[in-house]
Amino acid sequence: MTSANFLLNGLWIAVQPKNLLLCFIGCFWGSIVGVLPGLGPLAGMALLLPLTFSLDPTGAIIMLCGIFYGAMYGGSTTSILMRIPGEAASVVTCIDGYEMAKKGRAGAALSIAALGSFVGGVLSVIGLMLVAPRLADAMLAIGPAAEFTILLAALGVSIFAASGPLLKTIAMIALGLVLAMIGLDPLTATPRFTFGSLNLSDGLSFAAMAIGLFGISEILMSFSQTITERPQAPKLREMLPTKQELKDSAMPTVRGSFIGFFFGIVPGVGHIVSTFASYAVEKALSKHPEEFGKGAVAGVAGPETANNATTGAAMIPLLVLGIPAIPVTAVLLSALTIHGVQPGPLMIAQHPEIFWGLIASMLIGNFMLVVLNLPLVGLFVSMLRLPYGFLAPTILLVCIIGVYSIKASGFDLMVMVAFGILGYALRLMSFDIAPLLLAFVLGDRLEVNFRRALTISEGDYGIFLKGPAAQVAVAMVIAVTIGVLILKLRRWKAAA
Amino acid sequence: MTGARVAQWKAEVAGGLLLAAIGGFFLYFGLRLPPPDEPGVPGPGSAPIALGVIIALCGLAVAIGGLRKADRSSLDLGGRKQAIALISLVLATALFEPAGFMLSTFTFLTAGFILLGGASWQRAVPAAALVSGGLWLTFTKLLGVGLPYGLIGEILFR
Repeated sequence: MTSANFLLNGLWIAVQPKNLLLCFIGCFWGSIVGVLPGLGPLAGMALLLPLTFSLDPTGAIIMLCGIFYGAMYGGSTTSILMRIPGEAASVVTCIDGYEMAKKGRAGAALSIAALGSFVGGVLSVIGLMLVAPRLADAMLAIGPAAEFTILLAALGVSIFAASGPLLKTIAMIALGLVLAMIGLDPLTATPRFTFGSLNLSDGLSFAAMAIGLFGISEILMSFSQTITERPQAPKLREMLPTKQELKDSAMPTVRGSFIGFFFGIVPGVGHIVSTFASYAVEKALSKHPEEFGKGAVAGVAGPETANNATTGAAMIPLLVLGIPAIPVTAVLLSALTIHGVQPGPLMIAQHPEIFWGLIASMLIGNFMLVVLNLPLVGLFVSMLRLPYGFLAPTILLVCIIGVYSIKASGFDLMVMVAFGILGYALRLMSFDIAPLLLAFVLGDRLEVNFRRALTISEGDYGIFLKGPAAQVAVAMVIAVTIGVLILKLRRWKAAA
Repeated sequence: MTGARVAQWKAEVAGGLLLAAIGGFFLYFGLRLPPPDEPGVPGPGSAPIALGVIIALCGLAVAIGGLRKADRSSLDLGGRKQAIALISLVLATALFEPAGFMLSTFTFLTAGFILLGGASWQRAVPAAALVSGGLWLTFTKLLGVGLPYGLIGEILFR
């Protein structure tokens, strides 16, 4: 079967009424969580995770992915209308999007953001379709040593890409790794840090940790933000961009797609870096850089496109390597694992219906979002008028139900609360908590492959550098390290 | 909104020491795990020991960095709303199984709407009943998720 046949088959799966409905629910919920400050895609996905238990794996992943890219669309609405990023990746859109709104071009800014998001989303899905199967074939031949090196490289890159200070990020990664070791040792079944507790012998629940670290802590942080502005949604006729605005957004959209795709593949980098990079590139290439910050169309089109292009690309490390490049894809990994599907090189061959069904649904979902978001912008804006004092307890309650329903475990609720408090404290002290979650997800595989490889080599550490896959991974870490050191040196020189 | 404040450097020192303590914990209990079966091949305790050392060292470095910090700005730890949300969350999760879903969530939402949303009890009580009832029906009847019944759930829904 060729890729085209697989894609047609995927389209057939994606257009089944049940899957279309799930895609719509995901996109709609995603747009809502993207709009509401305090609820990002991760919390939005984690909250609906229990809903997927009664679904088949394809339907589950279609809905969860819909939330992921739906949130990226929704995030731009509040950025443009109120200068409040609905989710972190929309920070850059605030700069010029809000300035366009102040000039009475809010509708055009929303349309340009939606069109850019659509183009970026679709191109990244095409990239995913082309790259993933080939990369998966190449990955099938690797052994535990190379797998360990690749996983370590992914974590290594995320150290440099994290927003927090270096030492704090290393501490977070080490903490995530060691927390993953709570429970039975996967090779010898020795209990580790369980202290006789049956609840701990299975290890800490990923969902409880993720909802605590990101959902609960985000709600607590959001109490400090007061929204006083009452935004007005632009009318439908104001949504049409002018010919000049469309012309100005064309090339930034194309460039944003490539920038977003590139940053989406690199583990730990994700949306925030890709949007900032796109903004910097557009400003550098612009004939009128002085317009940036004053309502430049390219300052909205580029970053919004990059934002959505990152989403499709972030699925490559997840589906091909089983590496969640960003915390959101860690939730997807968890969801697939709950359904008995192990993402990795074998997934495309063993579960083509999931992979191609997802790809086709992402193409459909991106179209749905353009149709959904522009006419419904008034509805999304009205959600911001809900008092946060009413919204927050309801969201907290859904967090409780979400975690409880996975294993009906009161212990997991305590884990969620504990990590909620820990996440809040860490964020107050400028620790980036995303690497902690990434390390937690990868910890088990890292340790197992490390020990297996050393058992095979009888303690020879040189095994980790054997084979082209491992060497590429090491080269990647060295290249990123040098790149970051050069950037830091430049910043240090500029500051001096 | 501003709440309780603490000097930034003090928070850094406290956070660093807490990390060092966590690292020390994993180091201490990692050392008590069985040694490797073969020399040169890591056993169940090897990785936790190494990671415990890294966390402890990073924590100490963060604490020392905090002590040396020239910037003496203060950090907002959060105000009344954060404290109310946290306390009510802890109580709701602790009572979730023993008191059942309906009672614990109804109480949690009523308290939340009044204390966080500033609603009157006349508005908060029906809103809480509506939300908790709606969520109960959605999750248990529609999605088949098992939630603890407790006394009220037994009377109303069983």
